[in-house]
Amino acid sequence: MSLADWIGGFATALSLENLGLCLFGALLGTLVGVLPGIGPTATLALLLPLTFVLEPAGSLIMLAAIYYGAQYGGSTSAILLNLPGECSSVVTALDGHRMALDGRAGTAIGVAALSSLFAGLATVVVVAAIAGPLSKLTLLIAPAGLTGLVVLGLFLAALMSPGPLLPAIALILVGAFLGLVGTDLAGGQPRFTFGIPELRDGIGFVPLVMGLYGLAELIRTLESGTRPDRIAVVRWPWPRTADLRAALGPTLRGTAVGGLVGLVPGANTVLAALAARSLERVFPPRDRPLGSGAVAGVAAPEAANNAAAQTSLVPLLSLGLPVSPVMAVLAGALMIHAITPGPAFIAENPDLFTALMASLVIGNLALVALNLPFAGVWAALLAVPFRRLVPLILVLSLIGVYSVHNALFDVWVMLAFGAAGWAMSRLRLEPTPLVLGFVLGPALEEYVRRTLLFSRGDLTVFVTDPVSAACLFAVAVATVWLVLDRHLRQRHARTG
Amino acid sequence: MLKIEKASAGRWAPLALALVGVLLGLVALQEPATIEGRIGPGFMARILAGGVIGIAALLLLHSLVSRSDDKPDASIKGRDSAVAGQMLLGSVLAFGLLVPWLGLVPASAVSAGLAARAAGERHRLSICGVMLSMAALVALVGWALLPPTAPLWPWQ
Repeated sequence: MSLADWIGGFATALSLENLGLCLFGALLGTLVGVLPGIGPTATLALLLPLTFVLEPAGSLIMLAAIYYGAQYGGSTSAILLNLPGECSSVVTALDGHRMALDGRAGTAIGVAALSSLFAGLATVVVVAAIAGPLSKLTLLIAPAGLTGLVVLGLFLAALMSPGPLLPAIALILVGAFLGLVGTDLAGGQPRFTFGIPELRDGIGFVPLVMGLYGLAELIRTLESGTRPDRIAVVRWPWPRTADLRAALGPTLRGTAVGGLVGLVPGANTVLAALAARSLERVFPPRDRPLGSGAVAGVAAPEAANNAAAQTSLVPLLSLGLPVSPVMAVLAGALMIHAITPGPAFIAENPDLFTALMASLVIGNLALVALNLPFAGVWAALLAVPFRRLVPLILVLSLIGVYSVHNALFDVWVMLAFGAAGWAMSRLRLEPTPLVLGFVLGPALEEYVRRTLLFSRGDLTVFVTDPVSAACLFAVAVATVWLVLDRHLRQRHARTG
Repeated sequence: MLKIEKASAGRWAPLALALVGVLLGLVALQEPATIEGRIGPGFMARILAGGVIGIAALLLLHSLVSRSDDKPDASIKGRDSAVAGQMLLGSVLAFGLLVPWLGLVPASAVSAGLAARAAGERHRLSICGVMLSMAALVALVGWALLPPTAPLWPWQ
């Protein structure tokens, strides 16, 4: 594409109508991300009829803005209230909320916004420059390779989860089992639903997370009385130079990891955030250890999830492969205008493609302009006495949960997981591995099934497939390393 | 540098995990592992349940060998704190029971009031203020974001 095409794209994106749609989408996406329960997929689906009266460029710009706006918003509620608004925000909450409890909520929000901005702008270059060739490479990843990637992702989830390793692995397996409840995709029959119709769609992610994180955390905090009633916000609510220096490396690495993961059909932003945070364990953080409010624990996953969200456009636009429910809705929006995403999309619609890329730049800048000044305002929320925040958190959770299917069943699920989460906290078990297993487990089953179907039951395919072999080798090496390291430490402790 | 967290988790956690694993195993047995030589709906479930049981057994063994006697976290401070958790769960229960009768807005207000009480709010005026503000918030969110069929009020 020539410079004239790009200038035309920016001109289209900067038209009054498209600019307004971009800002509207970004704002709505942020709100959707902050409020648990009303996810971007549902919001996109609700707004799909609006695309009938919009131009193709405007439709795509607005819907894409909602999607990456939700990534920004999800981190805000995760940091402030430990209520992940989006799946990938679960990872951000680990350090982000810790920073908020230390009075550095504004810094956390600022770092999240800036890291997301960098990742967003950097991946626009990737998407624009190498969409075609890179996406062809990802088609080389067979189901066995995808299985290996998910196994690696689950292992990383266990490694980076707070608390002991073996219980974390057990909880990941429990979470993966819970993810199997619903309709068996292969046979189309309900599985483990006990005759409850509402379970045919599976256990909802929102009530599960609201119960385990929202409700259980509130109960634990109230019972232990460890949280101060007010959290004093440090005078300067935005990131300082030292924070930005600490965020630089993780942001670069998170962008690279997320950008690559987003290209893989079947991978999602959770996997990207997990991989980025796990990678940070190899590099010593500049400020604090991971898990205790490290800037790297916010910068890396935030950069990764925004990068993955944007590069997931590549398989859609260049191959016609929607890799997630959100991408499927975007594909639907294009087809409404008789535009078929696929190998010929960029060649036949260069103006639409460049306009979308331009809107990604504009949208990311707009989101930072909206989020960064308000970081101090959001952080001031924590100065509100905790006893006044509790009803707000609870009501937001209840409405968010109810709004998913307009059904009370989800409220009961939230109550059940709230009680389970409280029991887990009494047993000193962390909920994060269970949630991550729940998200990744169904994908694992699907890829295992597909792999064995294609290989006709031959298990050696997991070793002969290069991607799968590499992932399983990495897991094996890391396991041996951990066992040896532990053995050496114990020996060292015994000998003094 | 990769670091390891300490592996000990007492006996209670492994026992709980073992119980959960057995329950999951019993549930997994409801579905066949294979169907005509292909993976059935119960295949992955059995592997996962077996994994949970195996890990729980390892942890239990470790706790017996290391004579760890960690008790469940007993950091509840005082009777009021213990009641707080029950009231919070009760507020969710109240929401679920009241929505069909009163609608989302009044049910949220009642739930918020119970939650405020659970959080230590004592003044009636403050509790009323919390209930009214939460009702207003839910009304606004319901009007702006929820579908028209959402039962915000008793008459809907």
